[in-house]
Amino acid sequence: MRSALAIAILLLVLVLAGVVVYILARRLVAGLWTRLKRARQGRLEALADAWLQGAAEEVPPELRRLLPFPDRQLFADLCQARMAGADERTRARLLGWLESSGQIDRWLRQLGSHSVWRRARAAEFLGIAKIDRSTEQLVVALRDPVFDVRMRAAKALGALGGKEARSALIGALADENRWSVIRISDLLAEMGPDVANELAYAYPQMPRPARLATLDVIAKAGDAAATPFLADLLNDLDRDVRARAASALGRVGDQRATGVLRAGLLDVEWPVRAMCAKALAELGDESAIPALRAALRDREWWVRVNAAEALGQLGTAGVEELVRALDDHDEFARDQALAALESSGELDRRLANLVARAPAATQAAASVLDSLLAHQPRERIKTIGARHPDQAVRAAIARSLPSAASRRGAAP
Amino acid sequence: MNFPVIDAATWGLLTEIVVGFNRFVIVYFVVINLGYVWIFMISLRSLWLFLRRSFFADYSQIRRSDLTLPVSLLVPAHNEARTIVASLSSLLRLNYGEYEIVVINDGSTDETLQRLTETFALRVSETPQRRQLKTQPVRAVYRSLKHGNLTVIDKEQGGKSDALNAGLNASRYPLFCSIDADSLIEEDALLRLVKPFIEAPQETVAAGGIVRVANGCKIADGHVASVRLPRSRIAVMQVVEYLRAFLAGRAGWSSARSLLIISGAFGLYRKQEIVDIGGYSHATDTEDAELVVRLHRVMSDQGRSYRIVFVPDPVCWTEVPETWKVLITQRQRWHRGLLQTLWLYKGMIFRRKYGAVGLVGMPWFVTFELLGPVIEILGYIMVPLAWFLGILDRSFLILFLVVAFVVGALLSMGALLLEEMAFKRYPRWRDLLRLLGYAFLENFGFRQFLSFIKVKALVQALWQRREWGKMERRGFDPHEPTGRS
Repeated sequence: MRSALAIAILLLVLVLAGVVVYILARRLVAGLWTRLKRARQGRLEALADAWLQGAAEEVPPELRRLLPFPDRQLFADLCQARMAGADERTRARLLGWLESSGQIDRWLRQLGSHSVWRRARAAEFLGIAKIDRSTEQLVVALRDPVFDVRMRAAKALGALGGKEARSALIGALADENRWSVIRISDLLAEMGPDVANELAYAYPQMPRPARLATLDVIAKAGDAAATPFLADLLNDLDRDVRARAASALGRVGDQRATGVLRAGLLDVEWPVRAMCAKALAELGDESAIPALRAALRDREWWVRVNAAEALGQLGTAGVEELVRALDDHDEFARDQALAALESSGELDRRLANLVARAPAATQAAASVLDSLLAHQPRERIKTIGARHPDQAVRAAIARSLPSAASRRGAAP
Repeated sequence: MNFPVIDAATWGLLTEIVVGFNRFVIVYFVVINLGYVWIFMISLRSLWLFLRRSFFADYSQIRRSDLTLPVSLLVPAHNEARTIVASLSSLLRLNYGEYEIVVINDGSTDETLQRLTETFALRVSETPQRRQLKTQPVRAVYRSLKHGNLTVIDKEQGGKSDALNAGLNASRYPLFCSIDADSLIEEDALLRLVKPFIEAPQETVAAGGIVRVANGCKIADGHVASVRLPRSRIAVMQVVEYLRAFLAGRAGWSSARSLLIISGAFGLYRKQEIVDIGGYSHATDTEDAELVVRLHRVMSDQGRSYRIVFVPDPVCWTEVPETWKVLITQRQRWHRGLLQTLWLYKGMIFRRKYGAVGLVGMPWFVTFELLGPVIEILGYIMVPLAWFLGILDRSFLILFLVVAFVVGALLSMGALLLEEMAFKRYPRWRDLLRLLGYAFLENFGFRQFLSFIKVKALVQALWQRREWGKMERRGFDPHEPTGRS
């Protein structure tokens, strides 16, 4: 037993020393490597920049003889950095450099590499360099078992554009990973309005997450031609589809959707009602005011708050409706209307007229105050009064409070 | 010295007990350390995979996307006047799409509310709230005129879990993140923490980030400007301890689908699931651990496919105790909480229904994390007893202790290795050398002391006293004097 322990100690001490040495050596080597890379990077960048800005077309000899490490990686990084936002001439030179050095063929080969890192980096660089002939291989890479490779390929296809790339990306919306779907939908949204039509066409065959993402892409594209398609989806059986379709209709901003969105305020599911209220605000159609006024009495807070905010955004008519709602028989409608008027500053503006000279304005302000006195707790009115920026108004509201208290028989 | 007279039979019995116990300790020691090595290997693998993936991660896309879930940050605060403004400043600068901050002032008796009001221009808000969870009465709800996404709830004191429940009532978004008021969150930490929810939205119910020690770091304008090791020895020991617990522990447990603890200082949860199970409970001293174990139980009872994960790179910086007194109080509370939680959910142990949590995680925590210190202290007691009985094998004892110390040091070094491979947060050579030194030194006294404290905590668990842990805050502003809060 004793000798077993002694051997164990010996082995453990060796392992321990090994770990310590490894940690220190790793830190040392990493530091040296970083220094070497930095020095080499500075040299390569200086050479490349001088060539890119100079008149000579031919690649300088030193740039043609790159070391496998660390030059190739640095070279790829350098091209990536210089390619972004480069003018046509610089871009053409960089592409020529990449072609002549065999780098593009190397990346195309690396798309089939066993190493995940190589596949992902190759896809990324091909996208940055926008190599048209890589589309087919990148479409294949969209089915790579590793998520990161798929995403790099998707990004590259997004940069390349074109019908083949679009169709492949629409197909990739079916990816199980939600993050993939987010990233692909972002890429699709940046590929122009044509994508909305193609998405609508492919929609019935898509799985649910892809459908939801599609609605967001269409909303981002903002094409009014998608309105009938989205309006139809307000009758979908899936609650989330209906809610997203409503949201998309708001973002597309086509007033033809007002009717279906008004009807959507009566949906059985509150997320749909809430999204319809929000969308109606974005459409800015005053014909929605009565429906939004009714939605102020909804049993769900989200619907009420969206309806109140929508009314506040529908111009004078909407704000007047909010003021009228201060006398609503429903306590929640009154509260929400008051909250919307307060947060928009409209309540302060109305109450400011309590000390105005024009009798009509004073009367309107007094009517608002009366509504508050009739329905709101004394403490809340006190807070509203105390917060008003005009001292005279604060005093006027304070004066009205004792009478309200006595009218209701409340304790002073 | 006069020893009490012991008859031969008792002598023999005592000898048998001591020898038997020593054999048990050897087996226990081998199993526990093999277990730690196993967890370390899993951690190593999961960190390697994580690093490979995060190399390609494009977090800016998560921030920009409309499909990223908005988050409510819940910040319970009890007498946090010294640190609350710095903490909130760091939260207000988070690099994240849509989020709100809900601070819950849990009956503070210091100037917490006053500082918040002055700094963030708070005004009383009348917005109605759904009270889905029962809490102590809310005195007032404030909104900031400067920051539209900042809400402060002022309520009667009810403890941290009660404060978090009040925050849950006031929160609006589908995900919520519990954050300690004395902690600083790195700018893109939330983006990193939300990733599992985006990758597997139906399955992921909770995710925890790593907690690192802020003592010694240079804090400027509410964020960690330069990472340094603290001067205090106790604090450096805790740096090693935290690295071991998170990188060599939780990363492995998470991969083994047995993560039982998500630190209350920084955890992200799906709100609906938490509300459905009744929110935070007052039943234990460590509401964070209790919540996670309860989530495991309910999800398994419902037969749901779910994930509770640890993400190693979203960083939350926190102040750790620099005095023995505060450290003892903190550790006693943690160990008491562990006991209470494991006792509360003892029915999950060795039940196949609860998967890896029931078959591996909970049995491990009971046998080694909870009872480990008891075995260790009993082992120390047995040494003089064995000497008294004349059966002490000194050379064997020394060899055994050396093995124990080297294994302990090796595990700590392993954690440092993971840190160095994955994150390299301590760039100075001096700090690295100190960490290596302390990874060795902590095995001489510090860990034994903590074991003793934990045993004491188990005894104290009978009292069932529950309160906010008192912590001596130095504050993140180095110019402010040290004081008790």
